[in-house]
Amino acid sequence: MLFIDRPGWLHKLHPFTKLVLLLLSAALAYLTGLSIGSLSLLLAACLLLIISGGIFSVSAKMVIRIFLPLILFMVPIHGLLNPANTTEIFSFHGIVFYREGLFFALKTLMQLGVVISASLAFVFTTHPADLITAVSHASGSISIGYLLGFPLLLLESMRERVVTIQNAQRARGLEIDGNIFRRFTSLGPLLFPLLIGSIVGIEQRSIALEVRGFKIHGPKTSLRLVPDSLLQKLSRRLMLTLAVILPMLHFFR
Amino acid sequence: MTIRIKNISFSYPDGSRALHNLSLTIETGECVAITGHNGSGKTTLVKHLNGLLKPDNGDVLVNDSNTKACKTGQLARQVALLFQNPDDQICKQTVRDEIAFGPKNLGFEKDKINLLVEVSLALFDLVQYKNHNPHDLGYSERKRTAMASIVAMDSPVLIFDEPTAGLDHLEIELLLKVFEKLQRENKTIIVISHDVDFIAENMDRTITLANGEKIFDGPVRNLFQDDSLLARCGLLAPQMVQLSKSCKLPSAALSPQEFISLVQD
Amino acid sequence: MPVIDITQLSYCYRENNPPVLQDVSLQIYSGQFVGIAGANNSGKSTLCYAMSGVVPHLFHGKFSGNVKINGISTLEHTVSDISNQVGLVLQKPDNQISGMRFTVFEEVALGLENRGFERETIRKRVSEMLNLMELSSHAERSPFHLSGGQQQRLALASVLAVDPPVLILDEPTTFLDPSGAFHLFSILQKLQKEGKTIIITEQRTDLLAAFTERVIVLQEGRVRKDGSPQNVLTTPDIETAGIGRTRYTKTAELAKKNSLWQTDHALPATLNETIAGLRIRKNTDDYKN
Repeated sequence: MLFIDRPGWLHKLHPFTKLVLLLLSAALAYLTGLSIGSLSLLLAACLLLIISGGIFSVSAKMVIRIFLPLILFMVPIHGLLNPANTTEIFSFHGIVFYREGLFFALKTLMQLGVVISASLAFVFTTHPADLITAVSHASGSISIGYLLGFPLLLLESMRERVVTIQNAQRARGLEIDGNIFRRFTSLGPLLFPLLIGSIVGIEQRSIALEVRGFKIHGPKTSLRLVPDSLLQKLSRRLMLTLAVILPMLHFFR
Repeated sequence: MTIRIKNISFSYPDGSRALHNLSLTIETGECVAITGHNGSGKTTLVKHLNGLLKPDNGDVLVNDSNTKACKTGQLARQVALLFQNPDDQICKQTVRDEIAFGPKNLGFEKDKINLLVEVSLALFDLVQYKNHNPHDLGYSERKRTAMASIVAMDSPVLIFDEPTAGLDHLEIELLLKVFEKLQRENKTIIVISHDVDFIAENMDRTITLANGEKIFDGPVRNLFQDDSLLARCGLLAPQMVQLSKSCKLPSAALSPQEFISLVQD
Repeated sequence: MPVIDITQLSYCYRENNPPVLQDVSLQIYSGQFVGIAGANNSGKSTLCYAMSGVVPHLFHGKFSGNVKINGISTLEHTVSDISNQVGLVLQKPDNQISGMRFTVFEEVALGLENRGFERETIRKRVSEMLNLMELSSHAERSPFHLSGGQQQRLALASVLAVDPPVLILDEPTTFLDPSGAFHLFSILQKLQKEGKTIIITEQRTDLLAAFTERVIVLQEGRVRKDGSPQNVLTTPDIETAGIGRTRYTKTAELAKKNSLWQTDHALPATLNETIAGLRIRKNTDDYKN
């Protein structure tokens, strides 16, 4: 779970508002043919969002983790080898960097930067339970909310079980480290119990769910309140319309 | 096969302290119970005996060799450990193959593996199921398969985590017969258990942990007679001890036979 | 009228497999605390499933006979509907966590949300349940981070939240320590005194003898014995059905052989029954000479 529990205006927004915002920034970055200049404005807006939302330091760490390898990979590849390369910018001991490739790399990275920072603004400030509640409400079906939330929660219990299974098999003499071949052959005894255990767990859990009235007909209530407002609803409509219309305008121009 | 633990301490990566300055020695052929609250460090302790965990401080010596210098694979030849849930380990398509898994990993000869597997199948009354898929069988058959797979490793030390949990009376009787056989072969048996009646009747010595420290190490009777100690480790007195106390016997009986001989004089 | 009325129930999970339950007929009355004992694979879990509608609704085996809850056949209702009448707690604590809620508090609320209770009612009811199960201090923790004993009490709290008159628990103490098991039984006893009907399967006969008022023995899917704990749990032949008699019973049997038992006392299953029947000095001073 990536959610960070602290007060902030982004935290108070309805999950859907943040989702639509994410959608809009992705549409703007990818589908409206923005120049590098406009992209940097968009990126600055995202940065502002993250800073004002109080999640700058965690987001920065995450962005560096994702972008450093990408930069190291894309800049030389495109700067040197992009097929559109014609204009030489500088050369270094016979290695030549070209303007077109570097611009392409920069633009791709900026587009990605917009989407990733908007995504981080969503995941860091949205409690999964709020998202599940909102989805269940909107869809009128708790099954859909369940499909969404269950993997999140399951992952945690799976991680613990992986360690237990590893221990159990090592205690029976299974070597799990060593050369690649050995690691590969040790995978079966680790994965098989995990898989079977999950299947058995699901059967039991579905019984447990049924007896909690999972399929009872009639209106359902929710303990968790996910506040929404007219302003947010309207701005979601507006953002959605923009996310559809702006790319279309660009496309038909 | 002596196990010597010298002043070990261990904390998990998240910083929680699991064991603190703990020392003990277990000699060949002993029958030892490890008791204590959930989270008192019992499982962490036994994971040190076969090298699954290495102490932060102090040493664990299995047959005079330090676990820090050994791989778990090597140590499994000396110390076999059975975890509580059979479904955390069953990975083969037949009961027979599942039981052969450990001996194969230890690199035994084919004939020896076959012999060990046959003996274990018989010991745990699984011969009729040997070609069944363990996952088609009930919990108790799977639990017995898991136990058989540990016994088949022929290690001089065997550790069982909650072996009686989920077993019925007949299965516990079966387990006791296996324990008797292992004792005759001079194997060391270490049992983590909450089952006080089982411990009272079948174990010689008990080691009791609380918050990662050893708070008792001695004859089973001494633990069960000490109410404050029992309360500290979340145990209730065994039935026979409760009866002995209610009848105001000078010392607690551990079995019905003993009780009768105590009151008979 | 019995709360649960089973007539000639037989069930097998798959065609051609041997039946797991065979010709089971029994009635359970309101307010009873009933223990079900038997070896593994004797049909205990399946009987629990049948009494809560899980069988035949969620398993598609061969079902014959009739199970009525308050006079209405389980066939006529869904498992969710039946859960208003009958709460079911299973053996493995972690598998009963819904996986839909992030805190203990919300987990208990789930059943109430599904039934459309008002938010304030839910809060009040959940707080009561957590108090009763001594889980209040864990309300904001993740259900997955509780110990086995706590998870089992959480499962009970979740089922109990919707206030079903009947509670069925299938070997709930397997993964609990002795004080946890004792604690759970004490809670159940309290619930029974408040008018609930409790049905529990359990291997430990000392707990059954101490807490229940009626014990049913299953063997190979059939009801072999049904009566008071003292009558049922002291007969030697239950051991061949995979049920261990208490140490108290065994002690009394030995005492009888050694003329240390009062002949007018029946064999005991509990501590107090044993003390009452033994013909020994019951004073420390007497042992000092």
